[in-house]
Amino acid sequence: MENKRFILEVRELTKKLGSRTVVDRLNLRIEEGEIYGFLGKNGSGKTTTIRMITGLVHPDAGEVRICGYDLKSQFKAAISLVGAIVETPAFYAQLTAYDNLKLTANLLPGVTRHRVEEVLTIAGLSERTRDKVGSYSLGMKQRLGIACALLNRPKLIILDEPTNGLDPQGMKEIKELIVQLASEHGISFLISSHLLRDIEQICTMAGIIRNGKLIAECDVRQLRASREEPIAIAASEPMHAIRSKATTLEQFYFDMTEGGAGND
Amino acid sequence: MIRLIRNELYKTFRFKMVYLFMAILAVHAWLTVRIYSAGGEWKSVITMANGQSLPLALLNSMGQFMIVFIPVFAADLITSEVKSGTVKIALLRPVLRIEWLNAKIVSMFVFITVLLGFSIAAEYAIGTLAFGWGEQTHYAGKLYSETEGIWLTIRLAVSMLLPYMACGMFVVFIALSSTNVSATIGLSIAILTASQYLSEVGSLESYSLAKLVYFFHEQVYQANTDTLFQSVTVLTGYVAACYSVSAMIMKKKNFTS
Repeated sequence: MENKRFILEVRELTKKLGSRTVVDRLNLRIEEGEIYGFLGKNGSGKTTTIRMITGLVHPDAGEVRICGYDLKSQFKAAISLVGAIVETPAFYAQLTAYDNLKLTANLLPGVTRHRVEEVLTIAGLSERTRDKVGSYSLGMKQRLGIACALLNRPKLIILDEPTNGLDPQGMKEIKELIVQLASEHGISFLISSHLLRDIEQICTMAGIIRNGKLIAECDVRQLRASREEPIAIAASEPMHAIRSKATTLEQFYFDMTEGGAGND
Repeated sequence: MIRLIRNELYKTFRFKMVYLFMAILAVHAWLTVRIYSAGGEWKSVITMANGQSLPLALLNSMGQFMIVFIPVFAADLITSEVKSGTVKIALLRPVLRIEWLNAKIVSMFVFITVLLGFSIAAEYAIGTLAFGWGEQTHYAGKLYSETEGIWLTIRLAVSMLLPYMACGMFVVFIALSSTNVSATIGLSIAILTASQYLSEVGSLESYSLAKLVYFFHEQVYQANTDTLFQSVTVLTGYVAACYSVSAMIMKKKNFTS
């Protein structure tokens, strides 16, 4: 276990807003090539965690390491290995998709025009590169966000609710793109969502956050492979280390969140 | 850092705001000339109708425009980016927060310089088209040769970069503290306008940012060393204090939109 290479290591991450602890001593590790589903209902602390992992929000305690680089003291080295969409992808609506990506590419050493065109093709936007982003649908903006996240050939892509607002076809395409990028390019993913079926389809690991605490983790491959067998659970705290007989991620999620684990 | 500044300048000149402000300044110069030509000398700032004197005659009124343009520009440059989330385009990349702030300040400086340069050039052109270039430059009751007049115009216009930047830095601080565009613009204009009334309190008069934005060029022209030194110190103090506070806000800020 200790010989494994962790792309992302989060230790004891904590954030308080006033008297409320939004993220509470959260620990998380993502291996190379892993697609990690970060599950939790609205307000559970998913986005705040992602904001802290990407440096947009300062944690009150804890540390974030990306490929071994400390996010706080080695910010540039750490963030250079990340591509991220935090909440909705934001772009300059008056500029074309190509110009938006060119602005981002300017901030990344070694990213050429060819790479800009390449990621637009990977994201399936090659036909609309000269259109203003203001004319894009939400699905196209999500695709553009993924293209933008790919620009620097990241080791880790962080997607916050990537299928939000997408139609079924758009959701399917985004999920296929994620699986393709993980298998072909060896990119690790941290994907936050409350859509359990989506996560079950594409993720290799899933973690459940509740009231800012990571209450359980589950190996989704194992879940898919042995529908009838009880699955092993690694929980963030010993008191939550219970066993579930879940055969679906949905069942596992409700076992953990309603069946006692993580209940305060 | 250079690439970040290049991005900021690209956006500044790609979007329409700067051109709208240029158009307003040009229209103002044109209207001033038209009113004078229509026999309205008595209500015009023009004291000698020729092209080479017009930029100096209009330097006073430019401050009144800048006190509005700078907050509008800063609100778009900073508050709007934070609110819409486009700030993440830079901050999710290998860009330090202080570098982002510095790039915004460089962009503000370029914006002010371009507007100042444009207004002088446009006023020379409009004045010359309306009245001809003229023999001499007239300013503050004195006549200057053509070369002296151009040099005086450049010197006084360049000197205005300091009060405009002090105003810009003050507004950057407001823009970083504020959560919406309207609040940035409204609060900045309100505070700057209210600062004019510091002159009512004798001892605070020299600290009025609005007054310095309107009249600093006159102090430079009069070259009274003591007054000028005091004003430069006050303006530099505004720049340094606002930059320090802005850097601190930026360092501690949590980006949640």
